[in-house]
Amino acid sequence: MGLAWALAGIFFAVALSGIGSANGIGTAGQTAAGAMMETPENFGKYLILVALPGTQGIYGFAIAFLYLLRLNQLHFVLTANQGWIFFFGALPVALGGLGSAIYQGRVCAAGIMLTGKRPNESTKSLIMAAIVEFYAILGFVISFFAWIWPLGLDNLIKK
Amino acid sequence: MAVKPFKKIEIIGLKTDKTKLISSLKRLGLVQITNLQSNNAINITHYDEILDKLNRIYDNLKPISEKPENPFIGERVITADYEKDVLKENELSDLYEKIRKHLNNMRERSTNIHTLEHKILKLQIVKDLEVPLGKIEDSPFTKKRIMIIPYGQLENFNEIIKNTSNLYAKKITQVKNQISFLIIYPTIMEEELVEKFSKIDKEPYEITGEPYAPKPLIEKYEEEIENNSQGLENEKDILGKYLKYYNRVKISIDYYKNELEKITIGNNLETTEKTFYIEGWVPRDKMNKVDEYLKKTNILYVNFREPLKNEKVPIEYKNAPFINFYESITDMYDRPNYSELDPTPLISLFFTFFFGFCLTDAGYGLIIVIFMSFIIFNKKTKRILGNSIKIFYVFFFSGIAAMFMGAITGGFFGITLPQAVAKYVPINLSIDNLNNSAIPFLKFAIYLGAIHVAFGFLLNMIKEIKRKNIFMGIMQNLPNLIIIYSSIKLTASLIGAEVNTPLWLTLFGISMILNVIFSAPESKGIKRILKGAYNAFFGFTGLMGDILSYMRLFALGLATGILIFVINTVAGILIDLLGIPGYIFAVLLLIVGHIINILLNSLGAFVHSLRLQFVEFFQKFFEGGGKPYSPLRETFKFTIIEERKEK
Repeated sequence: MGLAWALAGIFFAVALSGIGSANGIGTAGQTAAGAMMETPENFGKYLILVALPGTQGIYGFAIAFLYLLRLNQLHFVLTANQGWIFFFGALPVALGGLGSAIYQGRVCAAGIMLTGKRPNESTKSLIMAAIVEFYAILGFVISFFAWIWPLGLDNLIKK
Repeated sequence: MAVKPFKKIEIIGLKTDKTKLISSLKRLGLVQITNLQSNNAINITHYDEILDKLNRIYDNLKPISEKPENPFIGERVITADYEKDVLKENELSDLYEKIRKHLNNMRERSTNIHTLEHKILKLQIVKDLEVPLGKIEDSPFTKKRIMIIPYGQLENFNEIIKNTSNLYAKKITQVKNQISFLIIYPTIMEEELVEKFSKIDKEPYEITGEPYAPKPLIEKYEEEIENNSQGLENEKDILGKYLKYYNRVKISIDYYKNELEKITIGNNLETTEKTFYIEGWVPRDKMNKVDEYLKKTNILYVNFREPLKNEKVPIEYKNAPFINFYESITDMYDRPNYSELDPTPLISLFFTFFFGFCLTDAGYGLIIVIFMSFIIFNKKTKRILGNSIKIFYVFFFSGIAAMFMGAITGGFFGITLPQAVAKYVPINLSIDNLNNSAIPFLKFAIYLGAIHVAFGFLLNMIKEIKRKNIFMGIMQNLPNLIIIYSSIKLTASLIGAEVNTPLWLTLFGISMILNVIFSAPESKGIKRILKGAYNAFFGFTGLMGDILSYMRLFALGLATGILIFVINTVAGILIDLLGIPGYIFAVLLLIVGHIINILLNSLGAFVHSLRLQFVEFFQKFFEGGGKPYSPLRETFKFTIIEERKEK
């Protein structure tokens, strides 16, 4: 049972943050494609804004990989409590990534429109987008500590 | 840390010398004129006409010119003395007249081709008709009509044919999803049939009086297109002979634009009947140079004075090499105003270090350094990029910082360090050691944040002291510095470190009380205390939030390291699974994976390091609002002047 919960956590870490990133990139990408009809010369600036919501998917993937490593260390034999820790440990990066990537995509889309009108302001759009990403970073940090910290998995595994 | 000091310059001269002086000032490129009046109506039609001709020639020669070889130079022309290459007005008129004839011919032939192509497209649907369209004429008792039926309406059409007597229909051609029919019917049925067919016939096919059947007509048109295309190519070849003027045309555009600007400025100066007056800004260190230069001209009066308190002085940075590369980072937010400190020196240190912190891999840093070296150590790119080269220097130094952080954390493309080396690494972030190193690495990021934020308050205090606002400057900033330090000490005591808790608690309390008293000086009495308490409380929580925001450095640094580990592990798995062929896939994966990882993480490192400057740091002291110093100077879109010959 523990293994099932742990695998569910890993699945959510990759899938939800990935869905969020795909959604964010999709939103920003569509706006960029539209903006390029008028200002194709800004492609480089648009590309950065389109790529930005992709980071959350990477955070989720990195956490999932670390958790899989831990499962491997445990030879895929877990108690129910260990499974719960894996599951809830993965949720911050999964849900933080999902939400922040979707909203970051919208901020990036607005940033692309701003860049289309005022190319010199593109850095300010990046900063706005970075502010949204901070909450995915917080999720990543907590998921990471669930993997490592004394009260987290590591401690339980040692027991 | 300060911006360049400026002097106000005042010049009076004779109107007859006006254009000559403006030319000289443009060449000198040091005086920013401020007293231009934009409402003077001037006649610039002459220069507009010249520029119009030049732009037309440029627009037509550009498509047939060779593509630029060097992407950094692009379309620009390198010249030693560009006035020599400028097309004189009579030369330009001759060239324009000659080219215009060919341009008209080309336009005519292009229009012909377009029209003929349209006609062919229209004939395709009836191409199997064996009689000329012109011969399909109505007789007194019958009507003839060509109908274009969409494939989806064919059934309805057949239904009408079947149910209507005295109606003759013959299929002509089927093209894509349409079929054409020739239909013949008695004139008396006209009204009835028009109504029946109105729902399925898209639009009536126009029968023209051409004396040829469609097929020979299409062939005839195709022949005409061929002739016109040939003619067009010939015209292009002829136009190609004028490509030798292409660079001169581009240089001339720059020249005449500058001439036009001179005339515009001259007409917008304040004048009396015989004199003109110029007011502007000159950097203090260039004052003597400008003075000497002006003395050689015929001006009547020149004076330099200190800026007045309410005057808006332009801003020019005054930074040493290395720091000046980071001016572009400050400019991304705003330029400091004349009465505040320039934060660029601190940005140069913190931004670079933060970027390195986010990558934490010496291998990645090395790749960035090598790549940037190709750009910044190439004389040609350096000259062509001009000021834009600064950002490449920023990445170069940030790459060095990443190498430094890689050395501290033992990161080099994720390769596991030998035990003998690993024990000397201060914070070994290898996956095996993350249990031990993650907390010190997080602490490192938080301490760095505390120092960065503290510098923000320190700069604010210095700024206020410089403005003679000494008491409030100290009272509004020093308590925050103490709060930051005492908070760190008290947090340490909470997790068991040996700290003089009563001392730090007292200092923390006094600082909070000072914040209550001095954070709302504009209010009076109890209102001041209540507002002060509100500001002090939320100021403290905001401050803690700001410092915790530096946790992102830890997260990004860690994410880069984990992804490097993932790429290397998957490459290892490929080798284990596939044997010898696995090496090929593994090498491909390593190259592509690491390149993508460098690009994505550099983007993250750049954006988040910027954010920490603009949101957490600048908010403590920075006002901005300065306008860049933009002296009157010659501007060039196409011309790169290699070596200016002073005249």
